[in-house]
Amino acid sequence: MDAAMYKALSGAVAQMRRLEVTAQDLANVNTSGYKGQRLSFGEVLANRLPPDERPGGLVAVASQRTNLGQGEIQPTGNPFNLALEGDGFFVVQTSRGARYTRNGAFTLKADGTLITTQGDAVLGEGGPIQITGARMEVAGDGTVASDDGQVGKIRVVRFADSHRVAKEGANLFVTAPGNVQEAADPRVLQGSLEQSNVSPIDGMVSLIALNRQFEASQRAMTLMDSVTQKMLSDGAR
Amino acid sequence: MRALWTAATGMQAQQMTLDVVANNLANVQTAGFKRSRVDFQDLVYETLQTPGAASAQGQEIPSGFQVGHGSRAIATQRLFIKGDLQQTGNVLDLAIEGEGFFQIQTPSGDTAYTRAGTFKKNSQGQLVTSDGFNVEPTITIPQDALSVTIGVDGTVSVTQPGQVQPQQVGTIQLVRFINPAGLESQGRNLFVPTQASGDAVPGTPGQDGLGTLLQGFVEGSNVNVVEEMVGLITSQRAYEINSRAIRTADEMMQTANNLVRA
Repeated sequence: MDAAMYKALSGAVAQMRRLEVTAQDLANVNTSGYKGQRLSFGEVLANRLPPDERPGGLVAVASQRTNLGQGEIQPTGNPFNLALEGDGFFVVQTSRGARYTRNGAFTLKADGTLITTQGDAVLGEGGPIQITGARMEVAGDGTVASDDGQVGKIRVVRFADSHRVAKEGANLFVTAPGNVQEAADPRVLQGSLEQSNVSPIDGMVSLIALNRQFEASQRAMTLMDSVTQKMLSDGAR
Repeated sequence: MRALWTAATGMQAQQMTLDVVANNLANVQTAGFKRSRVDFQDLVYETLQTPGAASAQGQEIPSGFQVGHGSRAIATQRLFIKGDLQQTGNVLDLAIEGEGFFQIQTPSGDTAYTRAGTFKKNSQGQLVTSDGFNVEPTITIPQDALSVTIGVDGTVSVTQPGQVQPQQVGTIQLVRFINPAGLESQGRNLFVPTQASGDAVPGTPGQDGLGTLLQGFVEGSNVNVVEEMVGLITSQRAYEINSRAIRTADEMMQTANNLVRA
């Protein structure tokens, strides 16, 4: 089969990948703290072939980046809802180790520990945060006060290399321990949640564009097939 | 085709929002009602390419490639923002100005909590909810009481024929919770504590952060129709766009099927 056919096929496969990623973003258009994804495509060469026989022009996913841009901040009125303004992540202690999130929809455990809706403890600068009494107030710098005065400070971290971060689901991000730094000047908002930063309009445009590009790849393949067919039938005569 | 199922989870999640918004709107006139909202989470990801892994050329891949499986509704949060106070003129209607809940004894003997202070008298003169459940501690108003006065601190006093001085017949206590959003709704305007809400902390109205009582008023629902309508529109649009993703996936499969001509 000639190389042009594979070029068209690689284009079609790339558009299918784009659809999967776009569908994921659109499914999470209302998920607090969700960060959209961006795919970039690059030309790949079939390295195993000798240089002059490499077909070239094959397209594949070159990289996927998480768009860490700020989502809209929506007031909820729940004092256990925290939002981060600017760079930074909350730190969550899971059974698998530390995880990071922008979704500040927290709640309390029976003993007063601040936890996520998954039940994992939210970490302060000195470990989990425990609220005593019937009140929690979070200052702009993340200092948590309760009935008995200050009980801790919400730990906010940032990633040295924001590309070396993977998503784990449940609004959690994971990265190597060496990639984590304390955020210099975190701004924590109490009683608010950060909305998803996915733009439905961009998603809609993406859907249309990738669909048409997929179609174009299909046309190219059909066309090449008919050329080959004609060649075969002409040659047989 | 993964995109089909991913978009389907998105549609399901939006449907859940619609259910919650519908319930909020149905209770726009329910005294002491607190609106809910839904929290979502993204589902697990499949890692097709790990960031930092070595590529064939012996070079590191700078960023990975992960494809997710959609979203799901994880929790509903009840929002204990104050509702508007409405004057009713009924002497047994009570509103809490500030934090706190009334204690109600359910027929099963358990204590439940409510913000709906639309109380009545039963045949024995006891203070009860519209469902006939007793207010705790039990307050009995004498049959011949001419007037009932409930103070800001919960003191209930009555005047009886032939007496100049009002007689105190009981005190209404309130409770509060560290995390009211963790309370479980039981219907009938009643809430019960859970692990997340913490235990009820009883106290006198006006003290320890508890609100004061206001006689002749009820707290209306805290549902804001405009806000719910906006929620309705955004969830409808999100539903639509997810169905659009399904259609795109469908069209692409159709295109792929057309590759092979009969």
